[in-house]
Amino acid sequence: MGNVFEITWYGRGGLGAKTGAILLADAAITADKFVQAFPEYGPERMGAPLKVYNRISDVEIRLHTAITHPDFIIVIDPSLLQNIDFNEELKDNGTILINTDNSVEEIRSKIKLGNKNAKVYAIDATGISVKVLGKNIPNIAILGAFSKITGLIELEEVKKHIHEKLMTKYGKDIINKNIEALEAAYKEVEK
Amino acid sequence: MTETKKGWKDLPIGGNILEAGNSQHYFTGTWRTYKPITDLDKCINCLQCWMFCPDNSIVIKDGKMDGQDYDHCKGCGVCAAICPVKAIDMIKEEK
Amino acid sequence: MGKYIALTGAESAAFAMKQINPDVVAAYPITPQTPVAMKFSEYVANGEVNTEYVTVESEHSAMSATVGAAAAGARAMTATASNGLALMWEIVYIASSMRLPILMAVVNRALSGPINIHGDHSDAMGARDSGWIQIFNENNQEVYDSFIMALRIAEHPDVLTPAMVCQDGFITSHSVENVMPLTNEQVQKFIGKKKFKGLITADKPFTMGPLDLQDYYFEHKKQQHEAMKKVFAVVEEVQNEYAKEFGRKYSVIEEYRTEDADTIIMGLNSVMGNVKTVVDSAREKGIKIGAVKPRFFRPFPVDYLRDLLPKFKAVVVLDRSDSFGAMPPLYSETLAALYGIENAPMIKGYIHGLGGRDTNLAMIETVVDNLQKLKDTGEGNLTFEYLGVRE
Ligand code: SF4
Ligand code: SF4
Repeated sequence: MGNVFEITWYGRGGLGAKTGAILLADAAITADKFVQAFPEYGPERMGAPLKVYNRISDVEIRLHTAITHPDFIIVIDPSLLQNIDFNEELKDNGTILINTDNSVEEIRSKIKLGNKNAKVYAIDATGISVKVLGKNIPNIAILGAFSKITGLIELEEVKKHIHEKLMTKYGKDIINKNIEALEAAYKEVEK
Repeated sequence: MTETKKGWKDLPIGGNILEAGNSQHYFTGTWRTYKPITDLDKCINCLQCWMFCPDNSIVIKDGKMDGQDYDHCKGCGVCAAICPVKAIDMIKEEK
Repeated sequence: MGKYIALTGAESAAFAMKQINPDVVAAYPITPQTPVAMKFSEYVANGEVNTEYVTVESEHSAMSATVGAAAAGARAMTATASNGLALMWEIVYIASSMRLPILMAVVNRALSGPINIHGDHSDAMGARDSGWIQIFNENNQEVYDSFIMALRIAEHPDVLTPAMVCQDGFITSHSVENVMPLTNEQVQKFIGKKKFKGLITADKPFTMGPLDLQDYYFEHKKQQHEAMKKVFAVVEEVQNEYAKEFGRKYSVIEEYRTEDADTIIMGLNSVMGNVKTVVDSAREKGIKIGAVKPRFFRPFPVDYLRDLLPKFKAVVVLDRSDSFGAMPPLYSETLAALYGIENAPMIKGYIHGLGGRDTNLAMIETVVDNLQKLKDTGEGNLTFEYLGVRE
């Protein structure tokens, strides 16, 4: 990974895209990477569509620009799919990870992909999250799938940082459930 | 006020005045047109003049009113106005 | 050396403040500074600092409380942005004229209106004549390191002048990056015990902030003027010590790939990371270009620029603020610094990124093209314009 690996998260306020991106950055730092995690700059409002970005690199990252053509797009809220022009936005041979209960084939036919060369992955992060946590906070499950697909971050590292970042705010019970969701998604996503 | 003033190299920075209470060295007594004169025999030592004097110029000796500090008294007449027994007269300053 | 942790720019400022462990912090939240005050108050609540945190009702009060604390002899700090800086305006001048070495994290944001919460330098540039030292920072590591160094610079007996540590709102303040902090012990050893005397710590009490009229005010301004002249000598000393102790070398003006450059792009804060990226790709095409990043805007590094810039044939200056009806600040002061110098380079200015508009690589590539034209033909010399504005 000589170049900077760029990720765009599509989510809505309250779904944990920002926390997801920060946990990803934390885990990548422990793997001796240089990272950035930043929201599309603007006031945060519950439910409003928002983009969050990550950069991951082996060398120092100097760029301070918005990400316009990422290597990897994560769609954390499937209701946003119709608004995303993957064909125009995604880098060639890039990867898309979608939170959906559709199969990869189904979802592939529904999104604006054109004839772009892309790998598409589907994970029912909402399903997992509702089952395990009892509510729709799909970010951690998404990280589990991301870890398996890219191999960029270790599952164990993500777990460690979930503990560090969220323990004081949410307590042990919620943490354990999040970790359960993380592992379930890791297992479930098909590579 | 003919002392030579210090230049920027010697002045304390920030406008700090290092010597506390230096307003004593400034003789506002020269501003007076009327001068308060106290008839200590009339005075009942209520010390209202002392409380009201804006220039701290009522002299107190052994807890009793003892006239004015003419180096600093500006002659405003507040003491004369406040005195309940009219013990203080304002007299035109002879210059 | 230590290891990297993930911090936003705002958290980097708060983290440095935590390790300094100031006596008093008084701050009022304003986007995008809020996470500085938020994070620091968390440290206070957790007992990680001994700081007296004063929750004030406005920025005017924040700066007033900070001035009061510093006058009493405390290490006092605050943080603000944009309209918040504007609201504390009056006291900003009082802090510097009372010669109180206060530190302030400034998260640069457009000074409205129409109202905008994003990064540009109109807030700090408005305060450029307030008598504060102004340090500009490209990334979160710089914010952190500058904060620690700024304390030593501000408190130096030759200086005794407050300092703003600036960073771009949202662009760095809300971006998580790798930051390698020092240990608490390293920071405490580096900053040392505070040396300046405040009102309460003095053996003899004295008067601060008195009325200062025609007979003395002028001399006190001259003292501020002279103190600013001594800042860079202190900065050099502090930077060298920082490099020696911790291996991170800073300079008043950072140069990037300037050795054999005939053209350079100059600017402040985060955009310079983008400029360096474009410099790298232009170099691959054989263009002899570099980047020059002043880390200080106040004092303005006149002598440094007079030494450095004549090495180049053409210079572009990027300003993230406008001075309506005049030349933008960095451009105009650079021009003024170069006046009358033999071999002064040709120079062109761009106003960019107002209200947080992304200054992307394509825009900077246009600048590089125009800079080459400037060098070859003189086209655009002594002009300035908006970069990437919609017609
Ligand atoms: S106010 Fe009159 S009576 Fe009272 S202390 Fe003064 S001079 Fe005496
Ligand atoms: S005349 Fe005025 S200044 Fe003088 S003693 Fe009376 S109150 Fe004080």
